[in-house]
Amino acid sequence: MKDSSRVLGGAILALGLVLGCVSLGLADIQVGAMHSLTTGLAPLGQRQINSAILASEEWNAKGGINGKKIDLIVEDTADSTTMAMTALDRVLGKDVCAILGPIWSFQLFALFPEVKKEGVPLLSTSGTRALTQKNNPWYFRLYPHDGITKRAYTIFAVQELKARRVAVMCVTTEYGKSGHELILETLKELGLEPVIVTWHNKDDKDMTGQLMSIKRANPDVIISQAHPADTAIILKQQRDLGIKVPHVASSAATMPYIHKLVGPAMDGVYVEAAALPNYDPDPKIQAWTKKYVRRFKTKPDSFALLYYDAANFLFSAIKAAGSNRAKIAKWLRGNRFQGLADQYVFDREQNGAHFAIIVQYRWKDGRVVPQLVKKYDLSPK
Amino acid sequence: MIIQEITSGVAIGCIYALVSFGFVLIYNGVGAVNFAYGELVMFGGYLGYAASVWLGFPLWVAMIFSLVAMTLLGIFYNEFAYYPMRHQPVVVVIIASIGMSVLLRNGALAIWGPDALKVNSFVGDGILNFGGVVLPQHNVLIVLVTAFVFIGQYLFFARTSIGRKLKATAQDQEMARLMGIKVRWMIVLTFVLAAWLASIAGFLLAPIWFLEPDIGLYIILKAFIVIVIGGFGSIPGLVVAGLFLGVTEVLVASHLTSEYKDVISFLILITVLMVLPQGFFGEKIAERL
Repeated sequence: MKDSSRVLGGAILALGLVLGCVSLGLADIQVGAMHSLTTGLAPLGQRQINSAILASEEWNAKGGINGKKIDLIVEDTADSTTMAMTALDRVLGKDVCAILGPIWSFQLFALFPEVKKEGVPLLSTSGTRALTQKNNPWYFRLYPHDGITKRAYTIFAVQELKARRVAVMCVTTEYGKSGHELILETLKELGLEPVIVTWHNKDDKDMTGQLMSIKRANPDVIISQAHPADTAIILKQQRDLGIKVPHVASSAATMPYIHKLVGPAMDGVYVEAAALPNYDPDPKIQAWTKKYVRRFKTKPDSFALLYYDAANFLFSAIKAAGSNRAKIAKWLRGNRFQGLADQYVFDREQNGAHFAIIVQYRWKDGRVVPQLVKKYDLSPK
Repeated sequence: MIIQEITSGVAIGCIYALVSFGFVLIYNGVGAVNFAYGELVMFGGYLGYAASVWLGFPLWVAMIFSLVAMTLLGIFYNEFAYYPMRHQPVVVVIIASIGMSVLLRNGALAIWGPDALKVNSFVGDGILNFGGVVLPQHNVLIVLVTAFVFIGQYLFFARTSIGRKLKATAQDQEMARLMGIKVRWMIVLTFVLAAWLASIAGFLLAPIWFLEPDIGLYIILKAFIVIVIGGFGSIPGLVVAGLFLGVTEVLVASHLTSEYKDVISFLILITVLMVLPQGFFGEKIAERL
């Protein structure tokens, strides 16, 4: 009887130890994923969150990170700073070790003080130049910033298209203002000044006034910096008004749903981007795109591809450094990562992507088809 | 070039006038301020998209589909967001309309997703050229449909029995009831007519402005400016104010400032409120003491 009691006691103790180890050692790794899942900003946000989900599912299917499952805490930042702050509070409440953040600079700027205070790594694909000039050691950018892409497409317009009379169209958001500064700065370096600069609000539905003033200025190229919906309206109305000047647009014009809206007006349009997931001949990117479309029933854009790379970069950091926030940040700063789109390495400001491509779209057989025309590597020397 | 700007502004102004008309129809008919009207326009367009793209119907069938579906939505709106609250303070009716606006916006997001969508135009994407002045065919359609709607409404309210009953109900519901008019049905009909106008406006703006769940907010903002400038409740005022705003916006963006185009619109609104508080065509109403 005594022996059997001992055996039972030992078994209970062993079971307790095993369960204790399981609960301590195999708990999920909490990672925040915040983006616009509702409102007019959702087309970009949902595609990027899809990428984070896809990356976490792939890691979990292979056993997670060092045997622990990744638990992605997804929150909606909608279209306001208030919603972004609420989303941040929620993910921090789940004790996340890092956050994949929204693309919108107005939301990121609002998040920065809390992110700094909490000391949590925040990764995003925003292009707004000033984000990495705010001395926030916890913010990591994994998309070529406007200092790279706007420089690349302005240089392209001047050197490749031989433009001398440049018209500039910008949206009045932080993104547009940042782009405006960089376009003008690059033009100045090239010895030029724009013949006209026009502005519009991101929700504007009519650009006739702006386009007519551009027509009067008689430019030989239009460079635009805008969000998806306004980009579509600009391109369509340029065609409707018969303004036959080459248009070099910002990356929103690479989004597949924009092509459906704009149709034949995409013909001849040049666009800056970081990647072309739906048309890149690289078999790895093609396989990823097919997987993405199969899983989410929608086509990814270049932001989605780089967000996927950002998620994988982050998961690799957690694998190497554990779930300590400071160690993750240190690992990110000190390592390179080969993603699907390109190689990432952080510079002093913690910008991780230093490449840009220019594509030209053609309208063929009722479809919009892109062609890579120039690649720029603007890595720091 | 100025003719080009004016013609483009006229097309935009027609959409403003058309959207404002549906809003005013409800206001004149039942005295309710409907902040969900922009969302009704958005839904009219989305239903057209569902019928023409998802179900593959020709555009004219999609138009009928949208009108029928919007009839049901108009009745639903009346039954759930207006009629039960009609005797409550005005603020309750306004809050109900804001609630309906949120419901429709999020409903559209859930059904059609966040990507902007386009409904094809009845007349295609062609462009007409009149001696250097280019005019998208769709803009011509907008102007013609707007003219048809406003002439049609005049004839409907002035020459038909049902139109006169609607006017009588709008003027004094109690008196209309005493005259044997079925007021409840007239109220339902008011919401249905406004929903039809929303459907037509949705079809007209979807090919050029595209459909997004948030577009209703933009629409209602512009409509509100037009209604105030035109004179709250005045139908001729809507047409004049719609065209005035549409053309002014284009001219301001082209010749004055594109950055502060909307600021100018609101300055016009404020100026009109200060100089002509009753708007261009509004009537001075003296309060009975």
